[in-house]
Amino acid sequence: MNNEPQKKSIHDSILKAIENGSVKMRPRWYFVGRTALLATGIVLLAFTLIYIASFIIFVMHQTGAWFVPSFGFRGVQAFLISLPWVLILISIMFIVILETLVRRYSFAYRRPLLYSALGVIGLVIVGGLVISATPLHSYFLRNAREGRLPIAGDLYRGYGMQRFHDIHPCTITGITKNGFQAQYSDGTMITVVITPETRLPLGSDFKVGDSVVVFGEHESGAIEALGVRKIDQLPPDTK
Amino acid sequence: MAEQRDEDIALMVQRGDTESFGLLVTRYEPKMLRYARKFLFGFGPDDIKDVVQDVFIKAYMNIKSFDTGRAFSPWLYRIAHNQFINILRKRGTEHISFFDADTLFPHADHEDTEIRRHELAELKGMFDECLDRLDPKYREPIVLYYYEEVGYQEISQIMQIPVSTVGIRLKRGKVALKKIFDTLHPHHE
Repeated sequence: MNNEPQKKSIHDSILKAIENGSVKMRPRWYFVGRTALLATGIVLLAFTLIYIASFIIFVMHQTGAWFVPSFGFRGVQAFLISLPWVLILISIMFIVILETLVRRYSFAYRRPLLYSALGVIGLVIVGGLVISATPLHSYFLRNAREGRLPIAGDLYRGYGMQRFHDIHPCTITGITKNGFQAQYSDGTMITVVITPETRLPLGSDFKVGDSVVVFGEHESGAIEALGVRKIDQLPPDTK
Repeated sequence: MAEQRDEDIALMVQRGDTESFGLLVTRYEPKMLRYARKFLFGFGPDDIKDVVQDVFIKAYMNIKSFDTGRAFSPWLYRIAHNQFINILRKRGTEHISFFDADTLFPHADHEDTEIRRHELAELKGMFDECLDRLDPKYREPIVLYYYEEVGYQEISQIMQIPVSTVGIRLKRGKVALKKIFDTLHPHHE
């Protein structure tokens, strides 16, 4: 009984507001536009993330850092130090934004956050690996080197051409008694010495023309290798 | 004659029969008022009325976003949930976090309507006395489940959390309520 006047009041005031036009229905295009904007944002963000992930993988192949964890604890240390952390932090930030946007959809919020987050991360990593296997980044890096990439040129030159003092991607040019001679992408020659302590995760069957990553300190044109491993091939621009 | 479905009325409103919106208001006003009273503690009757009125106004403004192939009730409750959470955030007396670890991992869940009815009869006194002291993240599913008789799936839709999290929040909410009750009545068996 007590609720009756109140009920009537809410009902009446709403209908009155509708009638006098102070409350208006939003048109359907407004919602269609908003949904399209959200979907576009998600797709763009996902592509950006995949691009950044593929760039990180490309850069790590380019510098040789991708391969050093197979050289044991020191290799893992060098790997962690050489990770492009700024790009990784940007990626994490984008993943959080993407996850927040995706969770507006029932397929995402009905499941635990862990599942949708793993889905997003998995998509980014797989997409990144696929894109990094294409010549896209090599093409951009080549253009950046030649000054023909105005927008992302600095990014490619900064990350793609950096070198770490203990990670050396190179090509074998001659076999010696206790190691081999090798050449950097810029033509500089180095002598690599293999000792009994050198880690050789893929064996020691080296021959001229092999692309390798050498792990060790560079001193006066020579490296006493802590680890050496063959890689399929150096990225085109390091040859 | 069978009563018109909410979704059919919503479709009529979408097509321009704005008067029919009044039918939806009449149907849902008591539910919305109860939901607001149980969830928003410390508000006077006039404030509650204003909040519910805003919920209906938002529902009207956004009615063209409603998919008439789906149930109307969770859609309206979702609008109410957003409105209530915004008000609690603005008031700032209760902490409403943007992230909740409950939603992170999967939990086992099950729902039994009979248990719900039995529990409500048994625990109603405790709920009525202690609900205002409960964290809003537990209070809301308890209000929706026990008072509004909304199922796990719909609560998941309203709060946009995993279905299994609904179960875990209800369970933890009841445990927290019992603790509050025991603190208030130390000699109660």
